[in-house]
Amino acid sequence: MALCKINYYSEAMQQKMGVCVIIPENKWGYSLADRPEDYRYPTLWLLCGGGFDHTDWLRYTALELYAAKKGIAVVLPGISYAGYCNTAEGDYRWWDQICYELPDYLRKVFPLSEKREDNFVAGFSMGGYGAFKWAMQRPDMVAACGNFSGPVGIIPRTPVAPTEKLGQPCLRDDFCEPPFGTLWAAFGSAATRRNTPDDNLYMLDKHVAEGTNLPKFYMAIGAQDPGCQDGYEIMDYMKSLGIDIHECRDQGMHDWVYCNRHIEAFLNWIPLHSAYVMEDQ
Amino acid sequence: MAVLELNALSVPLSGSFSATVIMPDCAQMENRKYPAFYFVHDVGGDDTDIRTVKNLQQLSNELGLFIIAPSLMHSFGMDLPWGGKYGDFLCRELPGICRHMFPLDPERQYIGGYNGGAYGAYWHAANHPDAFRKCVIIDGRFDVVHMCEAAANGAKVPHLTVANLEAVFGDLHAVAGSKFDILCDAAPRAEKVFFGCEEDFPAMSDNTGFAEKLGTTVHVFRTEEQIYDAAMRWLLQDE
Repeated sequence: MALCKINYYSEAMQQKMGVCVIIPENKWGYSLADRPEDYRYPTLWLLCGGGFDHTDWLRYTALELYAAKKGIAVVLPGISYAGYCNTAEGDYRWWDQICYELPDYLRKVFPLSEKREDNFVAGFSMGGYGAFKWAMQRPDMVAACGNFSGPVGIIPRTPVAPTEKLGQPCLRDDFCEPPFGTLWAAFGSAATRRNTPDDNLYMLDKHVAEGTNLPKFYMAIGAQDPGCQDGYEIMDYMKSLGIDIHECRDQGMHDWVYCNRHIEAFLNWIPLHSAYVMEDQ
Repeated sequence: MAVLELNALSVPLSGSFSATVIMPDCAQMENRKYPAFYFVHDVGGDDTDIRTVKNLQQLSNELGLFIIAPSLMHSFGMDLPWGGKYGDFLCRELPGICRHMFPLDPERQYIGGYNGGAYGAYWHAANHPDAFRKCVIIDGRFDVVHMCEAAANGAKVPHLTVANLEAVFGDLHAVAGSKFDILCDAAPRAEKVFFGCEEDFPAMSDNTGFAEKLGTTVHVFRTEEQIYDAAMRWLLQDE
């Protein structure tokens, strides 16, 4: 597997940032040098969960193997606990960096297809929110969106008194543990994000009303996940809107074991057109 | 200031290799083909050595240049008869892999090396002029005939054992006049070579002598960074 671990100076963040890129290889005994120079790979933009960085999908799953088997390039940004937002506190423009700067930059560096049918976005947990948001903000860029255990509707539709924090039940208390404090600093008040492009459910309704050609959705959440009821409600709501959705209401927790299972299933589910897949050993 | 750590599969090396790539940042990257400079690290070093050269990232950004440094173990970038074919890897496969992965111009490939790495870089420039248009030698040590003889006679060669050297050069008493002897009169010559030395470099006279033989001169600078600055600009001059 060709793995590229990159540190570059981000204009959006005004600092050096890390990102990993997988270019899928064949098995041992084959070289990328034997592939044509003008080939363009289908690409998965894969987002990590809150508190993780650009290395975690590689460290906790067999992602590289799955990508090689399907012949898809994978781009892995990091996020810390910044909620896939341009942050309310601190002016960290994570979303601009991940959703706009990286595709523009990396498509110039690597042989990544720019065709919509070759591009996919997915994410785990906080990254599931981010992937859904990507699909809402750039529906013309991706053909499918995977959400594994992600709080799609983290911004509540109705005010949550008195704090106006975020919508997940575990985040509604005034008590603010350190990671969620960072998350709140990223989002700020839910009132300032509601009915904006950061509000996935608002955007979903808007796209449906406007007849936007949305990507297909792969939505998975385990029964042992604390957010499963919210996840089920989102799935039901999407179906009621007539959205093309593949839903997985299975057993599983909010962890990397669940991710490992569903990233492989997602890669098997998306309609891929790859000329180079890993051959059997 | 973009640095990329690359791990991928190689056929000549029978497995995964490591390389460090310095490339333009997002603000500088354009939709076009870029020249590539392949760098051979010193003996005892690895692909990460170029990270310590302070101005290479700035030069990559300013000049629009990919700098690609593979890890080559103790091979000098040469084929090992019993093991990794580092020569084939360096001059053929790695540029092929990089042209597949990055937007690189096949007509503008260059090679260079530091200290012991300068030997391998020059050898490939001289023997594969179709692969590399120009060569950069920085604080070069390339008298492998003397090095092998000395080692065979018991002298200590930094980072290398007799067995390490034999793995590359075979019989250490038979290097003179062989295909490894880049200084002998019959050896193929690289046409465009930049010699750069720090002013206190101990093997300066070797560089001066070799440069004269090739019809050029040694550029002497106070610091390593000044050498790289001049050398990278020379590479892209008139290209």
